[in-house]
Amino acid sequence: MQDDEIGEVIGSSNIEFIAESVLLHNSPPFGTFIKVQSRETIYAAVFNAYTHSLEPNRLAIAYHRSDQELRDEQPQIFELLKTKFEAVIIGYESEGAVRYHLPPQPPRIHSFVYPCRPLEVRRLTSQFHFLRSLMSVEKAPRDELIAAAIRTAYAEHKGERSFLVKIGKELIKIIGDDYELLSSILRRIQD
Amino acid sequence: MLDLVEVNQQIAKMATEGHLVADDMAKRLALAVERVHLESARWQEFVDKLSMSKTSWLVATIHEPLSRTYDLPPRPETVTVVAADGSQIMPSHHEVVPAFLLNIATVVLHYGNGGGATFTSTPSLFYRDEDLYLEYGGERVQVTGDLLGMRRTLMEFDSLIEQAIATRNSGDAVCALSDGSLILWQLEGRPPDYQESMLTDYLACLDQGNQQRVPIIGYISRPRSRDVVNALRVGLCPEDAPNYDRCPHEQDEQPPCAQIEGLTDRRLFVNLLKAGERSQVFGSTSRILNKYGAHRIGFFYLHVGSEIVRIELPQWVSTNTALLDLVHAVAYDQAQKGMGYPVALAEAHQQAVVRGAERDLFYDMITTVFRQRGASLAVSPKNLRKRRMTV
Repeated sequence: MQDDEIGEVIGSSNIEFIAESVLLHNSPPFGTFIKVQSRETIYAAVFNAYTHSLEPNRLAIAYHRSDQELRDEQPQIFELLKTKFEAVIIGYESEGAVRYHLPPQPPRIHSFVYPCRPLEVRRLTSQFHFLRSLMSVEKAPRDELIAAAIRTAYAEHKGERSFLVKIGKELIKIIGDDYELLSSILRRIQD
Repeated sequence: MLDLVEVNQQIAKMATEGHLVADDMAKRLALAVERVHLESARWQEFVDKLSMSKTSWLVATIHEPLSRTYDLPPRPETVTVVAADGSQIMPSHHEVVPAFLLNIATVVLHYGNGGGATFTSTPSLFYRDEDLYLEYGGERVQVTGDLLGMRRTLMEFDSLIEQAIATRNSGDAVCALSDGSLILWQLEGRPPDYQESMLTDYLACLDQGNQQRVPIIGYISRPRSRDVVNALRVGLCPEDAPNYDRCPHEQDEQPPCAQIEGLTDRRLFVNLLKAGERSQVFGSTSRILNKYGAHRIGFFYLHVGSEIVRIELPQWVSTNTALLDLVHAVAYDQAQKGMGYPVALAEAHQQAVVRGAERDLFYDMITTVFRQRGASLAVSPKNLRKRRMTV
């Protein structure tokens, strides 16, 4: 376990995985890139996060207290809530190179999850294959997810306009004639 | 299979009869409340009469007027509450092995300092001959039912004290909550060697609590005890020194003391206490307490808002005003936080509980492990048949 571990895989397939967040209410942001240290290093993009009661038959109720008051006077709550996040796999690393396809094996359950470092994000998003993986997600609004991922990537490309132009062209190729989706994504990138 | 139509008719009958009882109880209650005020006005005489009486019931020992109440003291800003609970998988000779399992859970809740919460749950498997059978009073008996319950109680108590003392070292006030009575009346009538062995362990825990100044209380929700009502019944007796064995009113249609018979203390105290208030600390005449020494258990009733609960506490807590105030405030606060029942005890129960599916899994695990080792073992035909019914 390294210092910057943010979660642990608790459910996985070749396509996506679910992880339990180390800290309550602290999942990695929507549309950011993370990695799992499994047999290979597997890369993924976060498309969902939620916090719920650890026990299915115990529902959360409103206490009408501030977070600090709750921590002082109802400390058990924080032991009984868990934050989880879901991520779609966009590639993996093999023999020192990033492969932009699904890994041969899903991430192992109980593997640790880490945020991708800026350099890794840059490397992952210098090819646009990740957009296709994001297009396949059905459990989150695609326009939101793709726009968020592009914003994350753009930040690591130091605001290069050429990056935006190239990725825009790629989007047109992938999305085809779904003008609504395309304009929705572009609008969200600009915001 | 249960004939629900038949059950329904019997429930309806029960409800009608219950209604009649309720009317009668209201009258008894009114008399009891009246007697509380009467005896409070002349409480010294009442105490004398109680001390001279002889009854077969448990009669509360009284130190002050019965109507005396105590306001809710403020809870210390920072306090740690520790609770323990346990559950078991009972030994069954119909299963593959007659082993049993005890699961002991503790919770530590830190209040006011952001210290958070710690939960533990520790299973222990008992399978050796000396675990499954005890030899007391010259007899070999299987550890099940009460005996198993006693072992569980001791283990819970042990964990409770251990956690409380570990927490005490952090410097905050600590209060340890146990579910149910601290009076081990179930030991009465058991062989002396068994009684002594259990009590020694139990009192050793209380000793540690005393040394570390960690108050330990038993929290009894919906208590059925009648110690105080019984004291009022003694008060109703026209004799100067009531003696149950030589009662001149025995043949009466309704002996004087029977006028408030059947009432519980909790019904009485709903009428005497306001939310947050507690009664005086009463003494108990339970015979087993004669062996408790410095840990003799007393009790008070507390109005937690949703109900009257009975709080049991050792003498060294009840005679120390600071500790007494602490347990009063914590017991009330815990019930508020837990919406009627102490949050620490409720969470300890959640941690300890062994569900039906887990019990089945436990036996599956045993079967698998034994099979892997080539042992031939079998569930009894009776149990097997119960699992697989055919038509």
